[in-house]
Amino acid sequence: MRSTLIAAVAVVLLCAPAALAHPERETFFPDGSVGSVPKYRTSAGQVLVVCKKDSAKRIRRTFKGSKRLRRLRDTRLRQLRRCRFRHIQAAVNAARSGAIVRVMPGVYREQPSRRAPEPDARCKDDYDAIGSSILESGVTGSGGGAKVANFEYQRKCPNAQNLIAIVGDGPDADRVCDSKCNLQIQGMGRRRRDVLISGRRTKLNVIRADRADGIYLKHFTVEFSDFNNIYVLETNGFRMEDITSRYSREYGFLSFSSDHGLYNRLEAFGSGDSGIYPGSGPEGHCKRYGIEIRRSNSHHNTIGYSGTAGNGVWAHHNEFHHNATGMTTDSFASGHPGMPQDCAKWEHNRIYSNNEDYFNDERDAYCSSTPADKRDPKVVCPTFQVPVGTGIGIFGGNGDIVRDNHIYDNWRDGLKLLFVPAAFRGEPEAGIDTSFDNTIARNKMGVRPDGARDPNGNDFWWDEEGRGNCWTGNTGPAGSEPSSNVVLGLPDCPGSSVFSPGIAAKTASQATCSTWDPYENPDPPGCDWFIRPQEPK
Amino acid sequence: MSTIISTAPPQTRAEALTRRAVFLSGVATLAVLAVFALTAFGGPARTGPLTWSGKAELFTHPTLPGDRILTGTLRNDGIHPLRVDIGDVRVLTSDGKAVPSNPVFLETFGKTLWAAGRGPQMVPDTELQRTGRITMLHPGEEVPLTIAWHSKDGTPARVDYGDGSLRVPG
Repeated sequence: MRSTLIAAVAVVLLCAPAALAHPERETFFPDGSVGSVPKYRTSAGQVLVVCKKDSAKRIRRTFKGSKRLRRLRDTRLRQLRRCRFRHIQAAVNAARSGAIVRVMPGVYREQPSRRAPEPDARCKDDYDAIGSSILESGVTGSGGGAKVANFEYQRKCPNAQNLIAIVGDGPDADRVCDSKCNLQIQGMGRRRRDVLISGRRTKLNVIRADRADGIYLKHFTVEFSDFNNIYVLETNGFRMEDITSRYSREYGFLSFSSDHGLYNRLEAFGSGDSGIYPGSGPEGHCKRYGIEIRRSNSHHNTIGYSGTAGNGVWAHHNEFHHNATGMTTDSFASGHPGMPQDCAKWEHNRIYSNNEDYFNDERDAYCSSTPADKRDPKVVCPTFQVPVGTGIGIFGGNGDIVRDNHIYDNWRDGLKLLFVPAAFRGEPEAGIDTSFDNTIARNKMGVRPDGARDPNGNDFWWDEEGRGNCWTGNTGPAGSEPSSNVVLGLPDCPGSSVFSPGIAAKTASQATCSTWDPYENPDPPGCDWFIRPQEPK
Repeated sequence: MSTIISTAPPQTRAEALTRRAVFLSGVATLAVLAVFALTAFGGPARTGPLTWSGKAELFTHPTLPGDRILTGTLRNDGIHPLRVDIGDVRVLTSDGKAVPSNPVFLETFGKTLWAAGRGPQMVPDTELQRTGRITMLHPGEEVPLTIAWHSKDGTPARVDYGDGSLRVPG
């Protein structure tokens, strides 16, 4: 039986679908000492209008009723007369720095971009290799590095992987935006859904802003990417506002190695990984929070919010609910700048009912037996494993603050704090350097905002590893003490300066979940993450 | 009798046959004793270069009472570098039967860089090592190992890794 299993694994490895490596290319943080979140503008030296044949009809149909709406309708129809583009990418190509691109109501499928080949022979040499063959011990392994398209690939072949590419930097070595900086791309419909940008999973990314400092995206709906619906990379100054992202194969809104960013009033659902992903965040080391996420609603994703190396992120007044797991941040991956993760600050959020059962047998069977391009894109197929029924997971975080949130109705754990050794990001010489100085304070556990009791399975789970972690002022229903898996009780603030090595039985019960593979090992022995817990009484 | 255990050459063919029979029965007895030892005591603490470094722990999963988890740290006590692929790691019952299991060279949770179904055709060894699928150990180096199995599938007595095996602690 074992030999059969090994043979099957080998076959799967050999026949892995579309050998596209999606880990990030080598990236660098922009200079955080300069830059700012872009502000909304109503005028610019260059205003470009994009429309469809039926935009006027859509404007007349949706802007009707009140006097204010009729006035807006007239304004839109007047603006429509200046329409010169049928595709957003065409307007972006024509844009100079500082331009406003107004997108009139309609469905934008960006057909010319869809026709761009991937891979593109013009860019066949523009790849980085990630993961060298030199192992930790200095021994040469096999497998070499995996290819990932680099910046030159995006610059020279912008629509190979992206339906709409805003690539700001030139061929110089400075990694700073030179053209198409400070663009504002704005849907002009009455509602977000009136401007729909649809990828139909034909491209990895629907919108890519790459070294596109000052990019401002506003007021539309985006769907069906094969990787990210919106992807902001190495960009200093960005703003995503009033946008709905739905049914991305992996991520809804993703920023990476970027700074001075704002996620504002976003909705994300149907993502195979995370609705919102502020990864490789600014290295302000708790003195500065360079990315703000506010008033957003992320639900029915595998994870509502996640961020490997999600540093310097202030997330507040959001809702993360009805995902498999609500929020995570971690130090798992290699090749992500800013490791180990530190200084996320999560305040005044509602993190609740994260019990979506995306790992059950039926879903496993569908997702593993149906090729990605044949799946119903509205069915969430998890791309990574998470513990179903968990509100918050901090996996190898330092200096994170979880404060004044309502965390309830998560049937496994309200918050899970777990260390990750540095070897896991390819830096074994750093030893154990995570799960330090995290503060969990004044959260309402198992209680809805209206005060009604709605318990978590367990409020706090901790592997007891680390130093300086502390819990204070957290309360359960009717002011009761929150529950935890720590027999001797959770440490109060300030946390102990003495390093605690952790409990092997706790960490090992999580290690077993590492081997999850939806194709070959969907239910690993010794792992309970994929069994939705019973609703607690 | 004295001629049987003598180192002198046998004087007759009958004596030679007798000596051979005694020798073979001795070997058989030793083999039986070895099997008995493996059965009764889980065999020698180790064969091959790897050894448990410190205490390995065997416990029942806190929420899955039918699952057992073994976790500990392995050290290469040999004189040569050693590579072990996780596919070669098995747990065996005392009579040598493999128990389906879930081994990984990790002490806590970690995950791969590639999303499900996205990996390259040949995953780099660095990634395999980082995620606990292989280990490369110079003499004296250590690596964590965690293995889980369903108790209904058997009671492992040894962890076998191809080049040797270790006793599962009681």
